[in-house]
Amino acid sequence: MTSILNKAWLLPTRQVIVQPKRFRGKINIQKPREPHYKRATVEKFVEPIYFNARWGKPLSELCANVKNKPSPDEVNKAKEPHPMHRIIAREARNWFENSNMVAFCHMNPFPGEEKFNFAVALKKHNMHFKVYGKPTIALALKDTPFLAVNRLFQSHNLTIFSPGTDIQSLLKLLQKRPELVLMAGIMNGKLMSRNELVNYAAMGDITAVRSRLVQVLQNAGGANLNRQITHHQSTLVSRLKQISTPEETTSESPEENVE
Amino acid sequence: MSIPLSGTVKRSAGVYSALSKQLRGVNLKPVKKISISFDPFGNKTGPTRSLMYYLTGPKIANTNPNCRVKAQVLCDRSEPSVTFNLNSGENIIFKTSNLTVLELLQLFNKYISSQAPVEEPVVELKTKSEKKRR
Repeated sequence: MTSILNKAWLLPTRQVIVQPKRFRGKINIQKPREPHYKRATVEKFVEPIYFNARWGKPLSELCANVKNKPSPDEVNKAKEPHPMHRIIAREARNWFENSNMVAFCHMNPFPGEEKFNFAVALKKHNMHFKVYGKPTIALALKDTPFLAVNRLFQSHNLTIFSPGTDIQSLLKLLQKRPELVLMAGIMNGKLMSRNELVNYAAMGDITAVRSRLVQVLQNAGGANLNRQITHHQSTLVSRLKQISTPEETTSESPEENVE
Repeated sequence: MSIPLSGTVKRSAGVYSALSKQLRGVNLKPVKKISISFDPFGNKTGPTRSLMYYLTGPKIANTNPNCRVKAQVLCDRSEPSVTFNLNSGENIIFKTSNLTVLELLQLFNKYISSQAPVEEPVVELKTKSEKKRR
């Protein structure tokens, strides 16, 4: 019984559906009626007047396409190299100053994978390749004896640096790479053209050439010629050695001498 | 009466755009051998070297895999030049010292690429079952 009563009393109230509706239909937005005279006067009076910046100016000033000449400060700022660019240039200069052999090559399209293999082959001979642009090299080699090299940095290029001077193995490696065209090089601070580099490589190792010279001298002037030529130098060296090593000449220790 | 057109329709898209347009038309089919000689320390060798770079690119080199490209580095301050030995027996020499890369490519297309035989589109023959699959 109680449950029935509860149901009867606690029935939920029905939701009233409210539909808002404007009194007297739609408002006229498209073509509103003119305001009352007094309202129109006030509206006209309070209408803001904006300042026109272009009013009364000549046509030359109004043109948007006029390019103003940059100030000297702006020009100088634009000319200054980017700090990152300067760091790369410093690295390039470092490579030039600390390498005994530098080879400049023209580079035709060279796939990255092949380039990596070439880098590995170079690394085995203690050589490294770098690719620098023209402005970087111009910045790096400013006020250095390598200034003549600037001309080689046109189009696409690749530079090989090495602390050694193993030109023969470099030429062998370059022969296998038709993408690279050797143009010039620096050997022990001396700039050489391609032909000179090839001739230099054909000469072989300098110690071998020296031994060959000694052999020629031996053959020409008898067995004793070499010794006679270097007699004075060798005696000087032996004397200097005697002076520089006093321990060997004196058998007694300095303490004993004092006593 | 309308006004007749004088001048360009739109602005030039720049040198690189013109270069890519010329490179699209480069064809090495009529060429047997290309020998490029330049002195790296000489004046104005940049365009010659760039031309060599473009002609040895994979896309262009594939137009004629039998074409050999030989670079000759001189040391006598002589002018750069490019010699094309054609299959027809003709030799065409470009003296490149006063030309830009774009001009060189235009000349190449005018005198050499134009000699390439026009390829006819290949029509694939299909069986009935293949046609049905699609």
